[in-house]
Amino acid sequence: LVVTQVIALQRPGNLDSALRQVLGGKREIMEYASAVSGTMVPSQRVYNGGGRSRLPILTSGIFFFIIDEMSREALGSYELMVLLAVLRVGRDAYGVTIARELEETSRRSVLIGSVYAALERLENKGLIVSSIGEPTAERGGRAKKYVKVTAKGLRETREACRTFTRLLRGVPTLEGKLA
Amino acid sequence: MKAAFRLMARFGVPEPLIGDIVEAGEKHSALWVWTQVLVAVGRITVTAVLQLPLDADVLLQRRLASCS
Repeated sequence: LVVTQVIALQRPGNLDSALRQVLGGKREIMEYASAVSGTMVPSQRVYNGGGRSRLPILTSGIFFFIIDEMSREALGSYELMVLLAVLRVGRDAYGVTIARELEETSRRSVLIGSVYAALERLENKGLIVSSIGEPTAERGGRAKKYVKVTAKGLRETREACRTFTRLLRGVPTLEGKLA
Repeated sequence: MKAAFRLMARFGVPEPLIGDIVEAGEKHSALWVWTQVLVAVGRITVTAVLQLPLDADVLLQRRLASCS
């Protein structure tokens, strides 16, 4: 969605300003954009206010590089949902309680296996930490895997929510108006 | 249901995930449990298969290094 908006905003061919507009100047991506515009992105003469200047353009190579970087670094929508569910559940957050929270809020059936897959990705990104509890009889003598959101996870969640809010603002179709 | 849990253990599904399916399965139907089991087993299998080429590549590189 971010990439689509970047492309849509790229009318004058300015990657930096498009990214700034969509992401509100998110530090990591802005740093990346500056690095890219300084080294890898070919510049193009474009009309800029009163005169002409050289500005970077978004090439297909850079486009796929951004997608690749975002899939590795940025939070997916399901991962964000799982993170928010972990935060909502609090101390007692483990597979069953997280899945129940997701089912209640999304009103859809949730696969515990997919929750675990998301938790694994989040743990690899350092956004959550897990600990193994005591085995209980009701679980056939198997232990629970409790998860907790890290400071980095909290920061990323806030940032992702802000980005979503910014993206949703001013989209007529989502505000009930005709596009 | 024992067969379902044995199947997960056999495929190396993590113990906490098996425990979660056992716990949540108490309040759900057999169909729900089997869906969860098959997804868990499928995920483990796909992950293992995706890691295979990487392992083969590492082995090949080691073999080449030992030859040279």
